[in-house]
Amino acid sequence: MSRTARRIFIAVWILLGLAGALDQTVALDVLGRRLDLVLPNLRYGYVMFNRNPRTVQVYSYLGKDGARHPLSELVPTPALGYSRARMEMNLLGDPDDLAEICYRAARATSSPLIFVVDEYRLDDDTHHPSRTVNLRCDTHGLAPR
Amino acid sequence: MASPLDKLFAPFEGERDPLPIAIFRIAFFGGLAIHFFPALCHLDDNYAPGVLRSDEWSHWLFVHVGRLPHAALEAAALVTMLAVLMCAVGLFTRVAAIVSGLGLYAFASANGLPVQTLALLDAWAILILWMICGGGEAALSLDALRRRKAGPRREPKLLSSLILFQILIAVFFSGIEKLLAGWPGSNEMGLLFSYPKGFLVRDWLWATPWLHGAIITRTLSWLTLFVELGTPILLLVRRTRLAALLVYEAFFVGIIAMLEVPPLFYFIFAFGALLALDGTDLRAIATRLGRPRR
Repeated sequence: MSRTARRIFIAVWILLGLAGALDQTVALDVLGRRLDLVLPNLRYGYVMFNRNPRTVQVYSYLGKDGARHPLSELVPTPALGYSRARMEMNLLGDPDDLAEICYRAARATSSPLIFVVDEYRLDDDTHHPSRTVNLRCDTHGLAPR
Repeated sequence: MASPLDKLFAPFEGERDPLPIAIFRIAFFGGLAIHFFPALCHLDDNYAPGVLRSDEWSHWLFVHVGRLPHAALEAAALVTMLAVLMCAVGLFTRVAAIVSGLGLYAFASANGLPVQTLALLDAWAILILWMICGGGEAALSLDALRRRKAGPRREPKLLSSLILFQILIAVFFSGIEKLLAGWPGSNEMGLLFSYPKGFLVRDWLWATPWLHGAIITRTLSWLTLFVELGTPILLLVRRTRLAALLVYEAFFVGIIAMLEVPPLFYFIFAFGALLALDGTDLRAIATRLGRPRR
């Protein structure tokens, strides 16, 4: 790369990086919309925990021993060090994933499984679920129990 | 005499000690391997026709990669994984970076469900830079062993400086986004720490109630803002660099110890800050550790 080309590249990269960061932080307030800056690294904002959900679901299933186990144990693709969060984020983004987890789990086992969904409303009570739903998972799919 | 333009671009031009970018290369591509390989080893669960998929990146790739025959998917996954490993060990690094970047982006586009995370934004940026600039293999690599060049090894500054910019801007604007979201007044950290067992927080944190108190969580909220807004600047100043690096590293160890975040996030951000270290810093660290470096 010649010196001029390199400097143009550096300047463009830095300006695009700044534009992307501003696009995710202030563009909506200033311009009323977000810009499409084409590059994949400029597509979303950088931060995950700036505003956290106040209603959350915790997913588990009843094992053969009758005890609850994290539902993420039934997800066939491992996520090293963050398996529960991987599953929870997927379910937050796409609730249909619960039926997919059931479909795969039901294929792998002969007996039906019970999925337990505890919903917590953190503004009301952080220690006890506001609602618990049991779902039966078998080869026919998911159904309330 | 250097012109103002030369001074402006000086952090990106010339050469530097190759050790920090070599360490980052191993950590970054190691992190990509940990993040992507499970999905690439379970092709039937994630990319077979009929499985639930999410469209997060390129819609064109989402549609077309999903239609590939199984053998082609398998070959693409194998080539991608091999390229990531070659980058980690520093063998034909630039070509391997191009192949791994294209392969990982294609698979992330084909289905976001097993791999989607905001750390991928930085991963794409770093991979694009690696494809364009090349480098990062002058130390701790098979390429360096193959070449066996005499004399002290050096590395062009361009790649490491642009990656450092990418990482520091992400950290700094994370702080800005939190400020705009009302931190620390809203005590979002308190909300995060009050999540039930099994949701985002690690079990030990859930089982340590004294850490959930308002004083602690508000202090941690302020500390988060201080680190995210302060260290990207302090890391660039020689006098404050080592102290800022210690605080920064402790912050990211704290995040991964307390929250279930992908290891890729830690590998990018914790090791990325090492790129702020130049030869003088490395000599100072080596001297303090009792192992002087030439």
